[in-house]
Amino acid sequence: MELRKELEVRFGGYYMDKKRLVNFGIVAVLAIIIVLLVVFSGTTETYKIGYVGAMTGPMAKYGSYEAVSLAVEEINDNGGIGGKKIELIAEDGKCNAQDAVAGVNKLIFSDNVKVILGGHCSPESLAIAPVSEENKVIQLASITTSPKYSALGEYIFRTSPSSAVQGGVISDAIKKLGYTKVAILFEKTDYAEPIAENLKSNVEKFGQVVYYDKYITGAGDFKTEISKIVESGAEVVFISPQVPDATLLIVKQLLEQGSKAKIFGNDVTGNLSVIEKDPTIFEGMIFTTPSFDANSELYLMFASKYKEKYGVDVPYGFWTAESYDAVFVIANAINEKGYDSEGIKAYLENLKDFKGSSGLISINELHDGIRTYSLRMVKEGKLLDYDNQ
Amino acid sequence: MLFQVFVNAIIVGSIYALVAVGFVLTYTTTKFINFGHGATVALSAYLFLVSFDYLGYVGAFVVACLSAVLFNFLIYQYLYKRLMGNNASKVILLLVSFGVLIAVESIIQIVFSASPRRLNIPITEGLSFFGARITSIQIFIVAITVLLLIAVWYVMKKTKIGLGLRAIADNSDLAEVYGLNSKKIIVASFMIAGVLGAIAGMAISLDYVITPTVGTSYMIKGFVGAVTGGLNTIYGSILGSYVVGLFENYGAWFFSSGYKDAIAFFLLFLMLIIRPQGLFGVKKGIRG
Repeated sequence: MELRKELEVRFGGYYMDKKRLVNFGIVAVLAIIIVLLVVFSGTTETYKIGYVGAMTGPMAKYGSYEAVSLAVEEINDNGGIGGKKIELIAEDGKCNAQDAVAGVNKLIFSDNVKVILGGHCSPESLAIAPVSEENKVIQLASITTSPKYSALGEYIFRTSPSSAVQGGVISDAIKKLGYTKVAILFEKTDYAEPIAENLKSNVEKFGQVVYYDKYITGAGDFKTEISKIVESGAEVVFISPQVPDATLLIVKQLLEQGSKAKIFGNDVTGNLSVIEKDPTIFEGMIFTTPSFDANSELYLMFASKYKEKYGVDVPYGFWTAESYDAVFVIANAINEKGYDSEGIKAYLENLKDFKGSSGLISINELHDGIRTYSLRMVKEGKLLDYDNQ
Repeated sequence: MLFQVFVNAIIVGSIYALVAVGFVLTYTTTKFINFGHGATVALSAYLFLVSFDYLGYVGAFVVACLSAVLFNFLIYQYLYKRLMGNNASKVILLLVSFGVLIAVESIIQIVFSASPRRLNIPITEGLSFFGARITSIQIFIVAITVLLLIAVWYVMKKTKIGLGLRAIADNSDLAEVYGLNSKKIIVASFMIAGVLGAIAGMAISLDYVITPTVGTSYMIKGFVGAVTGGLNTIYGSILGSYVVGLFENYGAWFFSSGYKDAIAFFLLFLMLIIRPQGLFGVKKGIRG
């Protein structure tokens, strides 16, 4: 300090000491970075794609975010879409309406995306649809099977089928087995309740629904519900959870109260990781599953990439796979029609037999994915196709 | 069949009571609502479940118990005690204890994953008992709770530490004047609460399927039970927990299972309005 002042006084002018030099250096480097950013953001423009889905919470285990990130990475590593990379902007919807709506508002009004992948469960997807529709933003949902999502708007699509289909498949099987008294226990959510409603109306055509009741997400005890089911004389118990965790406790408590009823479940109950740990208690359980070939070339490729990147197996087969496929559907749409809502909308409306890891994807006039459900059964700790029994 | 509902209510009421009793004990000495007790319960439930495969029932319980006592001691010594020393208000302490619960649940989720887990024992059909079904494990849980009720009564009425606890709860300044070391008694109450939390965790592990949020769900029900019975009476909190169990289960039987939680909270509001000190509570000090 002293020396600088002395120099300035003696010789006039402006001398830089070490501290000033460092400060000047920092400012200069920052300025260069900003200039570079401005220049490069101009040349390497990206396609912004929004994501809304459960990244935390009990539904995060479906692995949709992991699958979508994997697909985006793959596309970008292969040169992006016509040379432009995809920029994935992810918002955690936590499988509930509130968080999903906050996320979608940010994506549309702050990030200005034209396409949103999601939601990745029915409560999210239903909540964000009006926002997307109003702002003419394409919404392509996966893992969304609520019948309420059908024909929700011009810009609203999904790769998943409507779960109402499941009710029919299950009631057919119950009828075939000659049972007439059915108990239905469901979680009160937009996904799980419509399946129960649908099954109820189907069963009432040939038999009797002797018990029909809901429980709230997170319920930790079902003893009295089960006492009621046992007393109703049900020959069949159908469980329709949204969060798969409840299945294990319900089945356990059914057995403890001496229920001999045949157990059926919706597609969520077919959770391999839970069944594998407790094969004996699930023995004989029949549940629905979207028909798809887990040995197809595309699925096996997806499964090996997923395992390589995350170190775990694909957690929810078809559902995780369709989240992954949705990215490729959108990438293709942008490639053919450009980054434009109307163009992508036209592409999705005419989507037919798109080859994905979850099978062929087509979209019908209700903007639902066209898929079929089949039945599977737990036998000696393994999941087998029920029709082949 | 109504008797089966009664049995169901007694089983789940016992679980609520086991959770409630530990948390009421620390409430009586510190006068703040320690939701962190849910963390003690969840931690011991998981530790019991995991060590059961290697150590069997007794070994697993010892592991759960020692860890719960140590956990409660550390949390009190390094967190609550310091905050109380800084004159933190009861609300701050309540919020901090909630933080402890959330943090521990998140750690459990990271370590043990979010998948539901069940103790590695075969599921057995319940024994017939006057037309109701009850498994031997459930009988054990109810028996433990009843024994605990008696033990707590005995400790509070007949032992020196019980006297100390009652004195601190009644008027801690006066108790200190008479030569009681209130700090020591508070530490003791946290450590005993650890044992009680471990018993609750073990019971939950034995009869239910556990997920990382197990602490929160039972803590809330135990809290409702404690308020119903009286926050400052230990046996009141146990009886209050049975009342909650009965309301919930008869509610599910006569109305719908979807209203279970609503019924429990309705009971809470009702008690707070009509009889804030709880069914068996006293307005000041502590009973039993």
